[in-house]
Amino acid sequence: MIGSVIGLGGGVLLTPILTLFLGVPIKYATGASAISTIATSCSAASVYVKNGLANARIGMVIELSTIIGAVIGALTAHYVYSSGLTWLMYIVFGFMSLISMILTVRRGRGEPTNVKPPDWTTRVFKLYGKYYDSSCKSIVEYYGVRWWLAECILFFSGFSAGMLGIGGGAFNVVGLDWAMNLPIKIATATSSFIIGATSATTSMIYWSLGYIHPILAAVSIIGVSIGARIGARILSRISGKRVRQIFIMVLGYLSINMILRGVDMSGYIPIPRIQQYAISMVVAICILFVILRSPRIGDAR
Amino acid sequence: MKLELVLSSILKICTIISIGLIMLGITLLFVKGDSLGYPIDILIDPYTPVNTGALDYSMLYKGLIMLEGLSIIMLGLIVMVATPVLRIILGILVLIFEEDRICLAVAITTLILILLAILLVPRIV
Repeated sequence: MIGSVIGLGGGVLLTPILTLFLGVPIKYATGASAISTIATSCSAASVYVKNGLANARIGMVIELSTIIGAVIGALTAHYVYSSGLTWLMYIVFGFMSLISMILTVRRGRGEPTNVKPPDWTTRVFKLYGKYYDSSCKSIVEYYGVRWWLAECILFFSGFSAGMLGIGGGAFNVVGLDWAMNLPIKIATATSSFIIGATSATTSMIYWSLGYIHPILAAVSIIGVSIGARIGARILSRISGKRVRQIFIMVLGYLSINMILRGVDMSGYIPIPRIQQYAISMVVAICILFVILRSPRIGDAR
Repeated sequence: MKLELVLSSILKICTIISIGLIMLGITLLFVKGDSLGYPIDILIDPYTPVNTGALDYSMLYKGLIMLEGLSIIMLGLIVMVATPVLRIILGILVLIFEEDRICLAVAITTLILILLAILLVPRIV
């Protein structure tokens, strides 16, 4: 049911849908999301690694800091829950998914202009490779630079992944594309390779903290896997751009609704449910207008 | 080239095994109506107290032999979580074979961190 939507989006959709509409406690929702992120990441990564879009070597030397981030993030989440600040998680989640939405939107705009020459980290960690680009029909060689900067950004992405049970893909891509100067195709594919390890670390900690509801996690994994298949098929049939615009709108709606729900739960400013839905809907429609007025949003990722 | 092939196939195989186990477990659970002494209403309740922190491993292990749905689901989830770790271990083996010392060092550090996270975190929280 939820699966076909999730296939288009990933973990960042699952948690809000589970908590806002199905009434699942956010702990269990993030647990189910973390574990089903592994499923999507592994099946995507196995394809990407095989066709050479995901660079396994770069992935393996770069995932170090996401894992440190994930451990610290998951422990932070535990601290927040145990001090009774569950409402704060809703707000943090809302803001994080807004940020990742903006990052995804901006990704379509132009090629990076700040091309850096190979530096010492390129040599030491062998951060280079080549791939067959189907749109230019040629083999493209690339290299990565500024390994340390990417590690810093990936620490942050790991932290958000560990705290919220998401993949952190949007932040990973910033690290790999902007900091390391990798081509966007390589960056997105390598990111999904890394996400598996990040989410596995998160899930293992959640597991021992008891945040994983076995049946919910199992149903989510199956839903997400089926959804990813259906999503891929639908995507190939209708315009990908339109789908991405709808996805951005849905994500905007969910993030705002999460923030409002969090504010409501905190008890400082009570907002009735009806108003929460209404405000989120208004914001989502505003986002839709912004998207329609700037036709480049939603172009190739 | 070899690194890519090994990793790609391990990811694929493990995902298929895990999803297969989970589907089998869910089917068994719904056919039987209860598992490991918990009725299905409690298991599917969103606020259920039956989570990974509450389940006893020896009981799960016994349930596995008796083909209990819940045990099989949990085994599937464990396979799913273990897949990326297995991927890192295999990657390390390939890197040893390729004599790539620096990448190897980073990969081993990653693995040690993950293992520390599994073993230490349950004790400190």
